[in-house]
Amino acid sequence: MTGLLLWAQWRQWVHTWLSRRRVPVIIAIALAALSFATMLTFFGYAIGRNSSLDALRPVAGLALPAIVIVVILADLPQVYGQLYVARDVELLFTLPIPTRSIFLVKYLQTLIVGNLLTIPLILIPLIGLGIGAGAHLLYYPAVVLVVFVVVAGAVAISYLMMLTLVRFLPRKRLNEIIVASQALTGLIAALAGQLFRFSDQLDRAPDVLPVAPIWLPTTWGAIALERLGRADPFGILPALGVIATSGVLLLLSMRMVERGFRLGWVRISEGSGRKRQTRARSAAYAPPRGPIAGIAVKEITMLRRDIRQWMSLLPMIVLFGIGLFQFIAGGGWTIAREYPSATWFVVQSGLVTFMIFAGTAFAAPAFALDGLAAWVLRTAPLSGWQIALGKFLVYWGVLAGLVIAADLIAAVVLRWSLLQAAGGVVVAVVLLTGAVALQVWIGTFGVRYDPQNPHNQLRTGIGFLVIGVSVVYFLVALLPVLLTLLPTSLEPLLADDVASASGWAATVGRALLAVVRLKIAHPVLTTGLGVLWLIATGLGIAAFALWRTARRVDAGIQIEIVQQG
Amino acid sequence: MQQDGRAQVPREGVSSAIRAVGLTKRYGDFTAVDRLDLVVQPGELFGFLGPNGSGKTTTIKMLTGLLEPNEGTAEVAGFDVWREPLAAKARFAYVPDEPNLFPKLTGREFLRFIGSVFRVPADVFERRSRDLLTLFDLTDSIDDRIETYSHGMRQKLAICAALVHDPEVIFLDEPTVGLDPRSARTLKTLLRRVCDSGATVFLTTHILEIAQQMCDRVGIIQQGKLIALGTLEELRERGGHAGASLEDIFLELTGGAESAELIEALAEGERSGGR
Repeated sequence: MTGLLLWAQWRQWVHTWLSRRRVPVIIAIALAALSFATMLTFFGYAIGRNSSLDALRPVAGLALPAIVIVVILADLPQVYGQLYVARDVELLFTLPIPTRSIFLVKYLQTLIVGNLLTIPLILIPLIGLGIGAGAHLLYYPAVVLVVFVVVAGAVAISYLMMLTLVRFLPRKRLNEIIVASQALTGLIAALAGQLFRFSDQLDRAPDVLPVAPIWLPTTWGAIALERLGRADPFGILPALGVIATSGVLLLLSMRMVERGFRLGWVRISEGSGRKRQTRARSAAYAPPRGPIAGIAVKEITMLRRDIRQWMSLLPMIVLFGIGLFQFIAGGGWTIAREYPSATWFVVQSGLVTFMIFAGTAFAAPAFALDGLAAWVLRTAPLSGWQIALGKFLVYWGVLAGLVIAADLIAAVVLRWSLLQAAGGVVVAVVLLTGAVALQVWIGTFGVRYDPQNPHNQLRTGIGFLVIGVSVVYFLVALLPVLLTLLPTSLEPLLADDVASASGWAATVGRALLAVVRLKIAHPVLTTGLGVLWLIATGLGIAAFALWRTARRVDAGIQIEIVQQG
Repeated sequence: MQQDGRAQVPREGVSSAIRAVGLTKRYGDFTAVDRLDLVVQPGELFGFLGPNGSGKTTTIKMLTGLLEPNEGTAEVAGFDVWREPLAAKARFAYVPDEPNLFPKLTGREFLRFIGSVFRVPADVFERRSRDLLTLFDLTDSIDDRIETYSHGMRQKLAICAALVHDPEVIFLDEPTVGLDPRSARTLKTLLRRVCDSGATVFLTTHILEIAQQMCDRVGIIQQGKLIALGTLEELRERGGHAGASLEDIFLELTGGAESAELIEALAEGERSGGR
């Protein structure tokens, strides 16, 4: 039965990937993979050449657990999709097929198809490492086996985690399962990092790499590789330990298939079951608003009720939170309070970084939120301008709230003057206006709706493009302003340098000198020009980007709907 | 600005509610809808019928601006759906076969959103909402999130949203799928009443009985081509089948009669094999 199911999956896969549209994609991926593999081989080879067989254990000891974390993080949404969302599950459950067979096929599909790129990512550099270090021939089949078994174990952990969460999470929380599982993985990754720290203290390696704890099965894999690399046949024993561990993990997950998979699928298919009343009946039939306000209210209501949307901001907030905690705990803030002008620049730079990444994650996929209901807006008598403005106001408002709050807290904690505090808020809000409009516009070129994985709202390439364009925008908006802030005391130094320089350095020097001299002659005018440039760039770019977004809405934005299974 | 009643008047001098001229949609070599010419008069309840994959949904999507035709024009209330989209959209409502609405909003919030978009005056909105929700038995669940609704409830809410702004033209794609018998009956009665008051309904359905009972005129599409158009009487006369039902006419036109013979032959074969 399992064989039959595998055949059916294989045929689906072949039909999907060998369709006419996909052939060029396959060729492109194959070429990219070949170049990347070559690069990775040389990378591993270079490490091996520069060290010796001693490098095998510490490198593999770090690489193997790292790949376990990568596999778990990457596979969790896929596992959820395979088990509980794929369209074939309903049919399969109505056929006389044992649940374990269905589960096994899903597992193998994730292991082989889902990790087509992950396995070579670790295997190739380790092979290169062996070649460079002059490992024995036994090393090569062993490295293939160990990597495959470790990835198989990691996939089994993903399945085990998902089955356990579905088994024990309350029904009303099942919607947030991906978030819960990824948070759990993050916690595991953080703890794993701590393990390496403690282990490092106990068993310090002679070189720069920390040594993984001996009880980790991935360490057994690393030991096996080192021993087999030295032609020690007893290296097979720790390798057997890795195989046994992955086998036990798979068996454990297979023991949960009835309750975790079949009954879990039933629970998830039933929905949350909770009838959520959100407001009292007395508020019934509140009068309608205008179209733009209507869109903004709809957008903010949908955002407010879907905790998963806010998770895209979480990594940035956590990152800043940790940085701030370390800064305060380390007593740095007491010193920093003595230099408000410096801290002002540091905080504004931090906020610009926040605007780039949080805007990309949160605002750029603004049109993805409509998902399957996008037809409602498309058949409504709404202009692209109204839709674009309604959405922009919400995402800009949320991010502006965060940025203003951060600026005001920093102003109080770091003892900024009133002017600095107000200036910080104005600069941040003006910059944010252009940034969010730009991010929403670029985002319209690659929005995606994945009902089961709401983080997956933007095509990867478009995500990078949004970051790139945001960086260019901030440079264009801020560079002239930064020039006006150059100290006038630089004038004699610059004058000397320009006199002795030639080529492009002289050109740049002359431009800087001109700005500094303008500032000496007309300090208010120069500062005013800087502020004017900032406002003109921020608001001008915002108007342009909103206009382009409106045009794209009128033409019809295509939302890629991700289908599971 | 829309007021109580039907204030969004059609363009002056326009007699048709829906007008499609040479409407064509191609996907590569495949022609989904082929030079469709169609006129639906104001106040008419028009049924658009056809086998699966014949081009019904593609046509309705081109008429509502969800799909751009390769050739031809589509007008609603005298406004070209692609050249004057806002004017056209202000005059029609659309209920798709799969009513995907904003899942995180409650039913009431969704209706309010629609009221805002169509600028329905508050008192009119309140009265119409109350009437429609009572009619479709949604009053008790209107403060629940749409994500908790069944398919039928979403369908009913989509119908309420379509009717709350009192459009001139209503497009419904398979509106009775997922509805319980009572709601289906309510919808049929309501659509008839809506047409009698001057609005136009364009619906697709697989249930020929409904089309026969409700529709003033029907069009039958097959492989993207309109193969029949008229009242039931006209279709009977043209086919020379006095007293034939719409189902008989439809099956004969779309080749279903051959299928019926095949089924009979198959059953005969099984009977003789079993003996």
